[in-house]
Amino acid sequence: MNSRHIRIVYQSFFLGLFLLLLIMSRTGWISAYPVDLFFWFDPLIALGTILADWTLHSWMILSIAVVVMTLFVGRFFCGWICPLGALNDAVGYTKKRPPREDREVNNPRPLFRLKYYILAALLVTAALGTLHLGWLDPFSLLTRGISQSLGPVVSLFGIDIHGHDVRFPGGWFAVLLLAGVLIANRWIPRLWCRAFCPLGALLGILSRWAPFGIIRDDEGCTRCRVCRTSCNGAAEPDGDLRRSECILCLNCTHGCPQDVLRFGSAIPMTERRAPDVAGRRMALAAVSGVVLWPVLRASSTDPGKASLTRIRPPGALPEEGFLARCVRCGMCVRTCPTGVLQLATDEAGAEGLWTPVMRFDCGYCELSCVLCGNVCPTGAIQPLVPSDKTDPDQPVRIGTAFYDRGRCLPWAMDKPCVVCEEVCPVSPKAIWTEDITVINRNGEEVELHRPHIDPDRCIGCGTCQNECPVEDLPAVRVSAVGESRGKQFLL
Amino acid sequence: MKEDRRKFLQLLARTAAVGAVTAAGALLLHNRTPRHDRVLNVSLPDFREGLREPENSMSIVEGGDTYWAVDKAIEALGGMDRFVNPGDIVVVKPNVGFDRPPSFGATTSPDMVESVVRLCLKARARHVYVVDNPINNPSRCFTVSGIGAAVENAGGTVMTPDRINHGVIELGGTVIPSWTGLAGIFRNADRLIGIPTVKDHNLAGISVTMKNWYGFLGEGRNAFHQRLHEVIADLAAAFTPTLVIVDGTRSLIRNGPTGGSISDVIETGQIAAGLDQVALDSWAAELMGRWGADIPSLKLAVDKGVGRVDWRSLEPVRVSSA
Repeated sequence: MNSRHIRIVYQSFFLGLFLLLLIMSRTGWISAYPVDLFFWFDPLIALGTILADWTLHSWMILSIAVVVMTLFVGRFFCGWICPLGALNDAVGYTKKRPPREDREVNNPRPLFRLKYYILAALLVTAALGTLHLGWLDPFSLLTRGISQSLGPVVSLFGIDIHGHDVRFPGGWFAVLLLAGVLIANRWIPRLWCRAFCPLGALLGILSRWAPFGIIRDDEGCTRCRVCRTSCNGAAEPDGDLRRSECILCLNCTHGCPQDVLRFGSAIPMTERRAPDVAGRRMALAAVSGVVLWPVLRASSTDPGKASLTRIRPPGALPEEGFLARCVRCGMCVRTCPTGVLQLATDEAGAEGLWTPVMRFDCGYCELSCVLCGNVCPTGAIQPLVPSDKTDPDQPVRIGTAFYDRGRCLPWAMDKPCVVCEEVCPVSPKAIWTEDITVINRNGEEVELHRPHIDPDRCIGCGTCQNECPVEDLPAVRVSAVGESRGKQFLL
Repeated sequence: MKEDRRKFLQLLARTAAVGAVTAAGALLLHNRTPRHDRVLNVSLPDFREGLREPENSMSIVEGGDTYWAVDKAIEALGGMDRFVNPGDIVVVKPNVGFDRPPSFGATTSPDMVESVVRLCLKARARHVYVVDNPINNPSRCFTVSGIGAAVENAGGTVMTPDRINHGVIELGGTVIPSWTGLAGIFRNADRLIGIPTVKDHNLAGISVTMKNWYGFLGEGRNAFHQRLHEVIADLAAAFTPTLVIVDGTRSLIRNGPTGGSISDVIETGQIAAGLDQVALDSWAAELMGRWGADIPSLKLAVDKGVGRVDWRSLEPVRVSSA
């Protein structure tokens, strides 16, 4: 058993833990699991929320442990803990190459600087107020990709890990990014980690002055370059080791025929190579962020106005604060027991891509459920208790339902119906009926209950919309107007 | 080797220091009030603090040009130094609600604004801010109404909503206990002078002093129409001005509050000044041929103790150019 085997055990453990927590994030199973555990240890999200909302939320304080350890030993996190890194290694393993090509693909490339520029641009947009970095944060990317694909796949075998229909309107898009990241390993191993990952870039910067790391005894080295064939970070262990790229996979140490590479204290001191980033390019990256943020915001739903499509879960912060906190990880979407919470594609505009929105065609907000706020790692959705949603005076409102009398059966077609009234979960019901008898076309008397919304009672749960028999465009529909987090529209 | 060891220890110490600083920073920021929760929240100050009582409580001036009329109206109350102390920051609230020229009667006349700003500065006010959050595009409203130029001529400062920090204003009302609006303007304000115009209003009946405070509020005020009379009374109770001067030189008697035709406007040739918003609005209602007692918001304001509908009982001083 060499260091590589030990590392694989660690990687498997953390990947397994990640998957276990994701699978257990289901109503009925979730109770004892800290399902957002990995996010607590993600310094990228921690730094992002600090820049965007000037606060470090709750358990994310633990990410300081990763920061401090990385300062001392380097990017161990990427090589040993990151579940996306583990998956990348696994997919990369499917590609066998002759040693010459192995050396080739593990050479440093100018492309690998890109992650630092991505990090810079994303930190600028965070400082301006939106956590676009969630698009590329590895845990968010992985959570979205797996939670949107695993359920539909295992349902083929009759296994239900969601507790609701596996219907994910925005799923394919999130899965596509993950699939692209994984398949790319067949071209260049860990291409994602080397060239794109903003968390990797952040940890890389923290690694530069680490007092511990890979040490090469130059006197014994024959320059055979065997180490380079297996270097997972393309860190040039046979030359000036690039500490910011080294992910401590330790492949070089056990592969060295002369046994001159080891992990240890950085004595003798050698020159330290900075990440290959030029100041001018970094400035360009920062300027990109300054352009990106206002353009994306201008292309999106107005944060100051209630929206027809951008309907947020109960407990969500007011939209500007929400965008400053939401890392688009999709934990809330994964956990939602009815499937009403979905990853936005266009519902919240360009800026809101993959943020959670309520899709009442997929589900409804269960009155007694507060899971989304309890799994949100950043507090973008504040944790509620069920009584917050049923408070007689100030219930937490998601929005308000409106009738479309041109489509509602008792209003438009003199057909008895009122499924909506029956399923309205609040007490007293927000839907009340005007009871009349009409003469239909055939001269028959028909007793009708024509529904109305009492806006003081409606909390916007969307059960009425979800159950409406006019399925294509329901005759009662919820919009975000009247949401607790927004401005008052009724006096 | 010894050299290397010393360097390594230095490196170790430096890394430990960076780690400690980062950790300390994280602890400092932990669960701190988020940026987006830091909302400006202001309570309205007492706009009459430190002033002598006026000599009379109401004055009405008929005829003459507006500059003369404003002068006389204030003089009858004891002069501007009864309302502005040297060094005061004065907020002047005309009606700049619409993108209309003055002759359409939808906005306060620029001459009126100019005279009031001049008088405030003459009383050695430090700043005179002329404020409104109009229905139409603010910079167009200030330009087309002529009020922007009038303020500049007089030496005051136009404050369009984009120049003011928005936040929550505590109003203590029954329908609107608080509302978002131009909160920042009240942080350092000492005085509040209302200079509304006299207008018909589709729903409220009239729009004069009380309705004019609307222009301090912002996002979501389109909800007010659901309970408009009560909201107007809430506003009147919340904003206790230092002084009100009502521009009744012309009155918009139909199709309010926007107007749109010169034929909707009649020359009424009077202005009134005073402290009692209800009395002044009741006086303005009569200028339009209506009765204050018929206006629901006035009745509600009386119930709240804001003032009285019977303006004659204030025994206004009357001045006429004739």
